[in-house]
Amino acid sequence: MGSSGVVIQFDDVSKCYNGRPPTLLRTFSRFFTPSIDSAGNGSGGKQSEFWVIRHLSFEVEHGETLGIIGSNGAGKSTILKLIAGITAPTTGRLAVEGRVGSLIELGAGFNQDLTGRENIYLNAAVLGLTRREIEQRFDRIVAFSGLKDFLDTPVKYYSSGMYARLGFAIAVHMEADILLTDEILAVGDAAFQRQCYEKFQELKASTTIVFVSHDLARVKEICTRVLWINEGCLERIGKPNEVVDAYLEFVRLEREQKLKGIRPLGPEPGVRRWGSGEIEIVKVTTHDGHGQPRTVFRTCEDLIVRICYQVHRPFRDPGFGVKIHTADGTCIHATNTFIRATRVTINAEAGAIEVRYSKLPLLAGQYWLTVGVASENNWSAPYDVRESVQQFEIVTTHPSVGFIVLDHEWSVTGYVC
Amino acid sequence: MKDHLMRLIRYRGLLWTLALGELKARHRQTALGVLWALVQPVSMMLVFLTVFSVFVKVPVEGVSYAVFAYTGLLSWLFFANSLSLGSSSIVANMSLITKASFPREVIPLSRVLTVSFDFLVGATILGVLLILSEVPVSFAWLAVPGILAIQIMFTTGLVLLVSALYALKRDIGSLLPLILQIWMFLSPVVYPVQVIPEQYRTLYMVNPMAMILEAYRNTLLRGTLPPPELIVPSLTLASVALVMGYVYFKAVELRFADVM
Repeated sequence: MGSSGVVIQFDDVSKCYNGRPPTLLRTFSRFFTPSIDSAGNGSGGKQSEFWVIRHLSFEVEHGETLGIIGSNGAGKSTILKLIAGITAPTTGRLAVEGRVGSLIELGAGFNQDLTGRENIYLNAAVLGLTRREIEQRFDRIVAFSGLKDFLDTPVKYYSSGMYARLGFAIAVHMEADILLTDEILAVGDAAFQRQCYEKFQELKASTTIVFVSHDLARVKEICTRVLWINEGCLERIGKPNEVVDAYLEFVRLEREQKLKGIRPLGPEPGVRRWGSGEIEIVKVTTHDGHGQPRTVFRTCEDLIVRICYQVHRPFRDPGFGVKIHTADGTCIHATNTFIRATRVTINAEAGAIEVRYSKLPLLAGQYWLTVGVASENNWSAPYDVRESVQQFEIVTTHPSVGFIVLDHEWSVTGYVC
Repeated sequence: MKDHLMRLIRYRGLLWTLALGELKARHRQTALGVLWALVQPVSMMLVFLTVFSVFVKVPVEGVSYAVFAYTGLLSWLFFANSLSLGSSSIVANMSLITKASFPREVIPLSRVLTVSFDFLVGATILGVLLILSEVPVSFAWLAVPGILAIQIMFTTGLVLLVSALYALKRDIGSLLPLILQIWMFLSPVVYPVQVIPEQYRTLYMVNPMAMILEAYRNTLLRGTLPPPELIVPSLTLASVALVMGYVYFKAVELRFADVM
């Protein structure tokens, strides 16, 4: 094995599922004259054909950590299966040099009735190790898995964490030249995750890794290059930051388009609205920090909510309120001009008022705005309240889970309690 | 073709591990354990013994019906069980096939290996029966491994073909038990070839399993070497089956992961 050079080469690879089922005759004739029908190029053919990968060309050099990103169904796992040799390209050429190890679906090859020890032999043999190679690695695998005391227990009695530990331990000790992996770094308990992560960093130095993930922060962090695949086609390949950012922007625009398509313009029948009507909320829109109308934002971008109103009858001491909540009504944040002691002066028949959220710390999800106008902070008898009047969406690279970003710091302090 | 075989040799460890694993998994948590391998041939032999030597008398020259039937059943069950276990093996191991890359023929071959273990266990009873029936020991017995090799070639070829067909088209699953049943009664498993009318015998003996069973009986029970008219055609047909089965299997194996 050389220390550099191309180890994975996709040359105009396409992959089609559900082609015509093979008949005995066709298979034999093809086996003896291999070039007879390799002319499929994605057009024509039967309707049942489904092209998951189209004309994909790229190369991976030794030692790279390539991240593959894209929406669900874009073809990411098909690429892994092609590299692993589990499935073959329909057209095009694919060359893979060296032994491929896979961290996809840990423990997929386990036989439930066999013990941990027997399954180490079985799974390692499935991954392509000879018996001697397995024996050489056996102790290290056991040590890494931490399952020494459970080696002679059938794996059906293992917890899912133990299962994953054993699977991971076997896979990383294969010493494969190319390692394929998906979200596995998110299994097991915290201690095991750290152990996996450290091992992963160690492998990164010597192994070519192909990493498929939806965790864009992780991708940015560990990959040396990123491939973005969209509907089976190569959209972009290059530096992690650039490709991930381009992908996020694409997702944002796509969402924006989708939301535009489904959002009705008039008042929605199912949406609750009440009030005496002296002042009417006509329209609520969301904008980015530069005032451009937008409905999809990234975490920690500025958000401006603009409320357009119209005056119908005389009023007294008005004020506006905005609530950000989830689809099920959980309130994330609510504010109004009264509690912020902002004096609202209305001189014309119609106008607009804006509230600006700087660096909105929301995490990925769909959020709704409920907007109201009332007199003297009396929300039991408002002028107008429109529930869920506007929706916006947050996409994120942030690794946290939940609704909001909280600044935090971990430190190990030892036993002080 | 040569690459395929080299790869298979590299994965021979997996073949053993799968076969052993299958055996261990099968016998774990059973009371009889390995003895289960004897239950099927012995009980079938007893049934046919009752039917064909008590209810209906089937003429068996020279030896007792028990050892006659057991010879046939042991060999037939090796064949039939390999086919029925092997046919579903690819589908049963889909979790492996869609997640890892290894020569797929390892899976059906490991099933044949597992069944041949049962065959070896069953063969001990055959030894006992041969002694009890006072069948004279003969140098012709040395030909038995050769006949066994022909049977294994034929069986392996069919198992490869059938398991691949089954993965792509599940019809085989319903069809196979029926075919095996008919095949068994069209082969000299529990009755001698001599009961077949003379004019049909040539046609009857086209069946490779008929040739193989006759060859076993020739050597084991009559102490004569099997004649070339049994060995040459059966070896030829077994080779054809093996090559065809392997070629077809290798040609379609990359589709297995796609059709699941």
